[in-house]
Amino acid sequence: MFEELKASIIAGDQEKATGLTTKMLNDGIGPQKILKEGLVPGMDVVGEKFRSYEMWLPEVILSAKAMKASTELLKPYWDQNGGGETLGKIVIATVEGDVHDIGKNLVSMMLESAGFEMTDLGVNVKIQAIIDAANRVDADLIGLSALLTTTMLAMKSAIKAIRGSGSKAKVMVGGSPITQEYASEIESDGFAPDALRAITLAKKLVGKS
Amino acid sequence: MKLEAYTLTGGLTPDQIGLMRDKAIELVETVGLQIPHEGLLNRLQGINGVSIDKATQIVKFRSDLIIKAIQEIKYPLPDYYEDGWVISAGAHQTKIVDMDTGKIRETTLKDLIEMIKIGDALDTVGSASVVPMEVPIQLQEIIMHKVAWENSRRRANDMFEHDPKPTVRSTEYIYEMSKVANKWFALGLYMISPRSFDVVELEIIDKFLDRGVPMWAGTMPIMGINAPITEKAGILQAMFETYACLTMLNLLNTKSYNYIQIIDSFIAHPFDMKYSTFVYGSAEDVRGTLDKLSIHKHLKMPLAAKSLLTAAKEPDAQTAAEVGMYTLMAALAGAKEFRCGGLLTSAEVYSAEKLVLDYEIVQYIKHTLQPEEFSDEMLGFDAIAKIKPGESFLEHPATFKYYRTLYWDPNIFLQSNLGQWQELGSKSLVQYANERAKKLLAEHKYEIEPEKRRELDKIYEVAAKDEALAKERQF
Ligand code: B12
Repeated sequence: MFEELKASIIAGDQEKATGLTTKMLNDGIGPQKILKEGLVPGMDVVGEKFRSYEMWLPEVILSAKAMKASTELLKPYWDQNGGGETLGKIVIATVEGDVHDIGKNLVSMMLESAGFEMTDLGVNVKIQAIIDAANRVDADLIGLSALLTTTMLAMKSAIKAIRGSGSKAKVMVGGSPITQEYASEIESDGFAPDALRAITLAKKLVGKS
Repeated sequence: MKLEAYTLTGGLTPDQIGLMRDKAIELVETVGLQIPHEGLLNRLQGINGVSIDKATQIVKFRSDLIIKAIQEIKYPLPDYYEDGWVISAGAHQTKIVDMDTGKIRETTLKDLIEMIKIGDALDTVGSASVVPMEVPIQLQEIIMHKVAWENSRRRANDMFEHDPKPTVRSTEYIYEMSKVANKWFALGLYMISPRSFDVVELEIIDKFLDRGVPMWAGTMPIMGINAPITEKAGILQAMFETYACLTMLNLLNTKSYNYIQIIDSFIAHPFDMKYSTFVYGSAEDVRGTLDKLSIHKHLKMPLAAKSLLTAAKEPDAQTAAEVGMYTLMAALAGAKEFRCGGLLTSAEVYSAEKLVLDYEIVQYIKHTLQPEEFSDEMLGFDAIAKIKPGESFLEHPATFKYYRTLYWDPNIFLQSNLGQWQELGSKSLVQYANERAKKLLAEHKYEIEPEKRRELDKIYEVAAKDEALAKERQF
């Protein structure tokens, strides 16, 4: 049945994935086991296939949706069974002065489907709002997106402010003008050039890779 | 008598274009767009034919207002537009192919000056090509305008530019500079598809409504992302958004004229779902542009095509194929301006060599399509009748009359033979392009008048010390 669940995630078959998840829960299988042995391995394959350009974006989105709907079903069971942890909590935003959100939305969605709990603050977000949100949800990681050279430079002060606020969250950055070099220069904790690589990076940063 | 110009046939019919236009107007009237700016909403409040939903900030315009806005459009076309073959160079790049090492690196102020000069030597129009990354953030857009104005005749100097004006304060400086330098100034709204705006851009518009500056409406929906995936739907969305934005400007910016920005108007951009990336220069991009051109022609709008774009990573066969094909098709469809010269990899990298190649490709196509004369002289009946067997035409009067002018003499598409090419060092085309770019730079002459430059320097100095300006960009 785990193989079937995994396959339904890869196929992006939400109905089947949620059906199987419900059935497994009813059969008394622990949510942890369903997640680790069915859903996550499915999404891992999706990631690999996306990386090798075998799966295309809309298919990946379907898989991500099936994944999300299934994990939602697990939620009520977490408390009873302990555990319940996601891979980590991430606050993501396009920085102030910048309204480009297509890339950020992809990253946010992919991270969510990979098992992170996402708080997406949208575009043109003031750094204080990002810090506040990170504190509110006790974020492990903050993702900053910028597509303009001007706003990309603002990431530097954003990182300083985040560190200065005493937040424990690590900061990853992305967006087309950002390079690894720049990401290191502004002392971010990491950079990823696309949504898929953002997952690998986020996992690494929260120590779950 | 001139031969009839070559043209492209097929594509959208006038009826289909009319239908798309009507549907676009219907969408403006019945669906509307979001204007997330209280000040502008207040200005629109109470105008007959405007309906505003305060809660959602959705505004709808009655069709007569839309039609009036369309009728009152004024396109400030520079005089050289009529002759066609205008090339605009790519804009706002942050990465460049270094002319000495061939490596891709971050752009600098030196690059900005050099690329503007090379572009000017090639008669290009359009925005500043690269961003001076080492300049403080709040001064970048200001100096981009300044450098373009100081070192070129046409850059950032007519409706073919779309240089960013990011905050009210920086826009003030750019406006002031345009006045002392006597250069072009207009404000644009790049809508955020679907159906909304960037609040800061609206704020700038709001603050400049009393200045009497031209304003334009533009949008760039991306198929499958923020517009439906089919190209016609993408274009319909673009028409709808642009007409809605234009109507708003027509009602508010009454001290000057308004127009539809022709760079990205009535066009939908392809998105590659396999690589999850924006793509330019693809087959669908070309097709979308052909549709755009038919619509523009039918609606009597200026004819521009972003045909110098390519997804290729370096100036290679893909570049030549995409740019050549795209530009040829666009030219046949009537385009007069060819945009995005010098850009590689779907507008991620600027290259001077690529601009030189683009220029060459445009010249090639221009000479191919040049309408030829049909006359007795061209037909050469007498010449053929009078020549004796064994004689040569090399010394014929017609040969002398025309040998330098009738045929295109390429700059870098060498038509030499193998031995001649080897004698010149067996250099690649890109090497030739590199040498030409450097030569154009070395020989470039245009400079703005010294007194205007001093005025610009003065304003720039004030901007450089303006703490409020700096603060605006310190997030
Ligand atoms: C679409 C677009 C717009 C749309 C945005 C719509 C939207 N909802 O996002 C609109 C029309 C609104 C727009 C407006 C403007 N734009 Co614009 N825009 C683009 C364009 C064409 C594509 C961007 C895009 O969506 N790419 C596709 C996505 C999938 O890629 P991506 O964003 O890079 O994201 C991927 C990675 O970078 C990474 N990633 C992204 N974020 C993050 C975050 C993290 C944490 C991580 C790990 C990874 C990561 O993963 C993503 C998925 O793989 C680019 C050009 C280009 N080719 O990039 C110009 C571009 C970014 N825009 C530009 C400009 C100048 C503007 C404007 C000022 C208008 C103007 N005058 O030209 C305004 C600015 C408005 C503002 N204040 O922000 C310039 C920027 C120049 C510069 N050097 O700063 C560009 C480069 C075009 C150009 N050369 O002129 N734009």
